[in-house]
Amino acid sequence: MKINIFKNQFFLYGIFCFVLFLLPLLINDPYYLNKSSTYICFGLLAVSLSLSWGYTGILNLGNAVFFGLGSYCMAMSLKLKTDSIHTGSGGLPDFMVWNNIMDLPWFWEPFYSLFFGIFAGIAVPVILAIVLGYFIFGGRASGVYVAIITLAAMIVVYLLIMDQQAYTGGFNGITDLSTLKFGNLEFNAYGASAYYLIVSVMTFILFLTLIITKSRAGLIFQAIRDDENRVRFLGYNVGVYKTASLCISAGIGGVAGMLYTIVMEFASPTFMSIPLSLSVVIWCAVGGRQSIFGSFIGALVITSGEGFLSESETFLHTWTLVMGLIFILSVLFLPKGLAGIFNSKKK
Amino acid sequence: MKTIKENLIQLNSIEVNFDGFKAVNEFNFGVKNGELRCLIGPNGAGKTTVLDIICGKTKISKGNIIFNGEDITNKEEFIISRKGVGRKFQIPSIFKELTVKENLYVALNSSLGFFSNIIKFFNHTDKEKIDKIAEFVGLKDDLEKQAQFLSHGQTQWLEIALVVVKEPRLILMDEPTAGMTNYETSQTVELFNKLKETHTLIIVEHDMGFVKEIGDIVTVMHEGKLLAEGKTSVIENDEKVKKAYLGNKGITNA
Repeated sequence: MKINIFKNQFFLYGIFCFVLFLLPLLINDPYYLNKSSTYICFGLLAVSLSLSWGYTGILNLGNAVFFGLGSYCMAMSLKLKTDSIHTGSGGLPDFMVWNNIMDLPWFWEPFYSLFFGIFAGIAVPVILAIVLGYFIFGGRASGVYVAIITLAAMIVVYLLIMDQQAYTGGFNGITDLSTLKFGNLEFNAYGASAYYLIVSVMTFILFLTLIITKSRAGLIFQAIRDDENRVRFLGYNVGVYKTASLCISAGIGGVAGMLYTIVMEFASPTFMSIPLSLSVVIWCAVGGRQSIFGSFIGALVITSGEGFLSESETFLHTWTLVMGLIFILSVLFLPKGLAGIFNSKKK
Repeated sequence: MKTIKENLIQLNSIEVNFDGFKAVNEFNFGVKNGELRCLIGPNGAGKTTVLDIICGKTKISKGNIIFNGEDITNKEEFIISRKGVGRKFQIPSIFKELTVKENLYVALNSSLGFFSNIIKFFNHTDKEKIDKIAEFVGLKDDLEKQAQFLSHGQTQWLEIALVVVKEPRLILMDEPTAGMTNYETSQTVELFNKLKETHTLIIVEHDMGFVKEIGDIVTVMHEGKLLAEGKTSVIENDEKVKKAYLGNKGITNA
């Protein structure tokens, strides 16, 4: 019985990823292809929250900080790849020149290597998650306190980046980036190449999280969500498990942020702001936070719905009302989200 | 001195201080290997606190705890658990959104570290053990049921199963029959008489009928101190014990 569900899920994920690979054949418009890519990035962000919130019970309201840090790491690398005309004298990024910075700061140096940038895009969020996890779970904070601490941590990073304009681009973020290139392979944000890159990474992450949630650790995550003390008195070090869950979540968030920078061609402090972070919570709630796939679909449906409604002439002024109505209805009638419709557990 | 050495668990002059209130004071207590010990006493006597300090939930301010010849004073909960102390709580704590089978899987899993679990899946050899323990606590037909749909008695039994399946040396139970019907209580008595043969148990209980059916030696606590210890029949007629129970209810002074 269990094995069957497992196989079915693999099958479902496989079909879904395959369909998304075929999408560029249907959409020939660069604008919509670019839009689709951004929706998938948000989907991955929802997956990352679903793992920590839906599976482990850590309501991380600062989830976007991982997304934002990933985004900045990628942007720093791509900025240093920009043609020297755009980067000011001596190859300095333009905003540094405007801020009278003479030499490239030490922490920018390693980002000349794209591989370091990609590595940092995962490592920096994970390190932040380890530090947060150490203090939050070491201090046995739980419930609403976790939400407050994570939200506060995100605001600290946000303010730091806004404040250090000379090194981070401040309010404007890091703009005017080069396109991502691996040798001769170029990932144009408005072409199919970037889209395929994103769908490939998405496929990898979806299957990775499927395996994680089906592993013993995945079951222990859910047990921690239901009754943390019981797990502790069965001999598990709950703090380590919770920190691990937050780290995996952070890593996925970082990857999503990097991909988002590739398709948006800039990084902005709004990528780690409160509105985005709270949106992720809504995506997960609508899609079904206890389902990785549900959260992903929730993010796709809402972000694409927002995109569609805000661009249509009929709803130009009322689209936020329509979205609000959808949220209210889904909370009232679908307490387990969209995933609850398909996945009714035996009683 | 020899008897203390033989004890599986030994508490030496324990003091627990809750912001100035001494919940447990100068408390000495020992349980031999293979014994079933009932811990009784009026409300607020510190019975649950004693279980909490053994399993590491509550830290002590004075004294020490020796388990199986090893000092476990103020160690972390998961470390004490790994040494072989199992704890059942008063309010049944189980994993509500998991099935009974998944509940048991979490408890059965013997590799406890994160990195060994992220690459492992549950396999069929675990299934036999699960069937065996499910049969033992009478949940064999409910393995696929989500735990939140179990009856109260079944929930209590599931938690007992979670504790027992780890094969701990010492099992601590806090009011295992609380909220059970008479029928469920009599079944629990049966369960405990089976457990008694192979495990060392400390049980906190209010129900004297239940205590008489399962217990050999009873420890009575009063206001954080040891009041009396001995066979059930002797304890029942002990003057000090009678006074403590009645005085606490305040009937005689009214």
